[in-house]
Amino acid sequence: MEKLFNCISEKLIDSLESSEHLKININGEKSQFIRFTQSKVRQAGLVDDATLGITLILNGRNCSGSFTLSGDLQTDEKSAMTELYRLRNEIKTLPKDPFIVLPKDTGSSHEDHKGTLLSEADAISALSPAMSKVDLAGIWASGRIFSGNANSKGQKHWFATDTFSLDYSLITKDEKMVKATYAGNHWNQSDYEKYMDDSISKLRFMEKKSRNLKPGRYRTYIAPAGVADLIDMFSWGGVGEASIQQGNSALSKMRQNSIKLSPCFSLSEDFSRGLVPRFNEDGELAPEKLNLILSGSLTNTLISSRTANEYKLKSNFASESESLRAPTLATGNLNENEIVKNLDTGIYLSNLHYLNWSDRIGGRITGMTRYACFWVENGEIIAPIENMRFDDSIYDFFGSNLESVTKKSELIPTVGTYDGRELGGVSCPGILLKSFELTL
Amino acid sequence: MKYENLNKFRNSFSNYTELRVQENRNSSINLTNGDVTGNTSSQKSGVSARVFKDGNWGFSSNPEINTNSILGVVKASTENVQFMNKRDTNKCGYFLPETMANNDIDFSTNKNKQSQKYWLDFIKEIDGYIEKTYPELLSRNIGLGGLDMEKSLLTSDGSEAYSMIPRSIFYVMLSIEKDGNPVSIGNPWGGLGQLEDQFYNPSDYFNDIDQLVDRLKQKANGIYADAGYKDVILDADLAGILAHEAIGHTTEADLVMAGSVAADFVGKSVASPLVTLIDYANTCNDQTCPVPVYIDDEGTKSEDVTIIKDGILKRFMHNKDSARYYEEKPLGNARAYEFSDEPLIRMRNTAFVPGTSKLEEMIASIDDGYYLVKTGNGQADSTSEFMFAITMGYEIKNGQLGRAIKDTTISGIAFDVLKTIDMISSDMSWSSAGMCGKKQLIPVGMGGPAIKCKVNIGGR
Repeated sequence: MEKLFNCISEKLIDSLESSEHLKININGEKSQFIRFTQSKVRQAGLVDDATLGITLILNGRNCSGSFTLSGDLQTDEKSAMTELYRLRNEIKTLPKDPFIVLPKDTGSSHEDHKGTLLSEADAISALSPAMSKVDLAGIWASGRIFSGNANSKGQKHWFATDTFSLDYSLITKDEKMVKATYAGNHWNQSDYEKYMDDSISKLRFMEKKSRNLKPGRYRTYIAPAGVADLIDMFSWGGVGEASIQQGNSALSKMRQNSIKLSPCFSLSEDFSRGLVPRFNEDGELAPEKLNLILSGSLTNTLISSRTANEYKLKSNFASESESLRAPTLATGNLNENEIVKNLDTGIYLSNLHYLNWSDRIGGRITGMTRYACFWVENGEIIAPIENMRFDDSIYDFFGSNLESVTKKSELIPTVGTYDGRELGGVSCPGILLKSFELTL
Repeated sequence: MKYENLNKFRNSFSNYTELRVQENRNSSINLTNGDVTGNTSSQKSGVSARVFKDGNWGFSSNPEINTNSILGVVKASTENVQFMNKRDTNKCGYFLPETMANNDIDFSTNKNKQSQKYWLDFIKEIDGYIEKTYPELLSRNIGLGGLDMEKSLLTSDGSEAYSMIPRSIFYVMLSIEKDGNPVSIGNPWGGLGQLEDQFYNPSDYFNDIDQLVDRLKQKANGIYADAGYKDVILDADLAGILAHEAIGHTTEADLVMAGSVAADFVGKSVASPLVTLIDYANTCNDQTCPVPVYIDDEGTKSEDVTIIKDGILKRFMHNKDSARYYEEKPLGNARAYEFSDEPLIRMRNTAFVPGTSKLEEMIASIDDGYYLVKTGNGQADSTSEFMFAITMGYEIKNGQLGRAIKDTTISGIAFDVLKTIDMISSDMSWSSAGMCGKKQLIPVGMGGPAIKCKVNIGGR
């Protein structure tokens, strides 16, 4: 596909007139999907899909279009040229864009992360035995995901990676669940079986009678998967500079009033793991690491070139949406084997579910506790808890109530499939809180 | 892009097979404070096949649309299912319910298609009106977009269908500064049809915009709602999102099988006897719904699903496979968003059936509560627990509408809330900008009458 992309890009760029500029993007995948219900294979599928996006720039105006690639060079070159002609006709009718981001040549990059994936034929026999004694519902996705960018200034980027994920829930007879995702780039059968065994052992706890909690504040441990969901919220009116400038960010208070989070809280964008491309839609390369919140203080925000033009700032080549692409939360000092002991009496939340801002400006997030969540008493897991709604502020749970952070970090992979398989994930530890508010 | 003569591939089917050729076309223009900040169009097309045999499914898709690729996806999906059948022989003898339907429906405009410049000028005129009339506003965001979904379908049961279902949306989002913080409000317009059939003159929207700005100013000077369990009236937008998010999803059979709270509710009283809730297929009160579905992506004729009738949960929404499992008739809820998506159980146009009350009577019946008009977003899960953001509402004191309230949230257990409904308005309106997410996106219609019920409302 890289060769196809290069050929089409060259053809498009060669056909440009001197005053025209072009940005070209490709995104696609070749994936196997297997859906499991009740630990049995329900459906197997193959998706082979790629989309080419073109942005034409002329005299301060820009215009974009995209279409599905067929994989046949002749057909796709013809489609690309047709799209370029359409954009040429349209661009004349548009007004100038005062914050236009012109293509630049800031260097090219090439990353191809070859993985060790199960073959399509071997996937079922490798996956099925470990789940045979439990009721599992889930989806296996495996294959190559790729992304490329080229522009008329000569810049070229290519990123491809082989990844797999098994996103699943284990279900008790009473329909209580444990949720987990086993994901990576290199398949390891014994790792997978151990991971599944860990999930199954959590499921045994879920078979105990659940405890009903009253709304109120509880000492709480949130495991990495739950913390990842909280960090994801920073992409929606959080660390984006435009949302702060427009006063719509939960972090506005940190900027305007110099309010700080806990010294234990440090969040960065860190591309060093190579899980996602460093280049954005405009082909700009983000710094390999950018501290956003360091020891509780807001040090940087994500600034796209468009926002930089609008507010006269310096871009750090964030994506157009200024959302987190490689979020990493710093680890702390809490030993994993001392979590329950240090929690003493309170709740242990493995997962959170369906989060939303309940008061964005105030930094309040609401959502549900879900899956393997337990009541802990005197340093011992006692019983699962019934699902509860929480509603609390980042200024409390990442601020004054953040007691400690675990030593070990986990990568919580993104498993979304909207518009294609998503890449990357959140790298984060677990957090121990003095207090966390359950409201319903 | 209608694919003519898909029927010629029928001979390549050796098992139960669905073959779908699809193209989605999106376009959008955005203005922020008068500047064009977005102008994009996209087209995504391809072919997919899905095959069922002995309880297993095989799926395959290809972005190329020609004879070889179509034969290729049929072959690949057939091989996928054969591969699984070898490993799982427990479901031999499972058969899907047979459905056969034929339909051609094309909602393309008969008018001359306008250029992108025409539509840009259209929203610029609206933006100009707002800028000139309301210079005190902090920001103006205006968008105009369309989605055409065009599908050609053939199934081994004999269904053959073509549909071109377009949707066009125009939205305005405005904000004003109050005490150093932005206060925002927005509204969408539009629905079924291409832009030419939805939007005529920019001035048609000036009155609506005047009302929107008026509400924005009321809200900026609004009060915080008193937190607590309150009597409220949920206007059509909110009643619609409650019907869709908090009730509808719990009655999708795939989520029922995955543990939804509604699993044990069929035949039981789950709501006030005033409540009837329907997922309309394509027509409601002799009017075409915002997202009409005539034949679903499994080739089943779409019919209305009465989920709740007079307070009793009647049935779930099905695809063929869940209909087989529950021994029910599928009524056309299997829908896919893109060519490369498999059909899932999805709602179409979900709404409460209107009652007999007048909105004024409903307001007059509340001593201390709220009239909640607009929602920014919402969420619910398979327990029917929900939380919706409220972006416009008013207090009700002694049966009278009072001051506007600031942004807040409501939450509760939807099936509990349904039991508290004691008045339903006699009118009905649809919100047609809904896009539902369930591993895939899909356009949906939501709406209904206003309902009076009790919910938890957030405070400061």
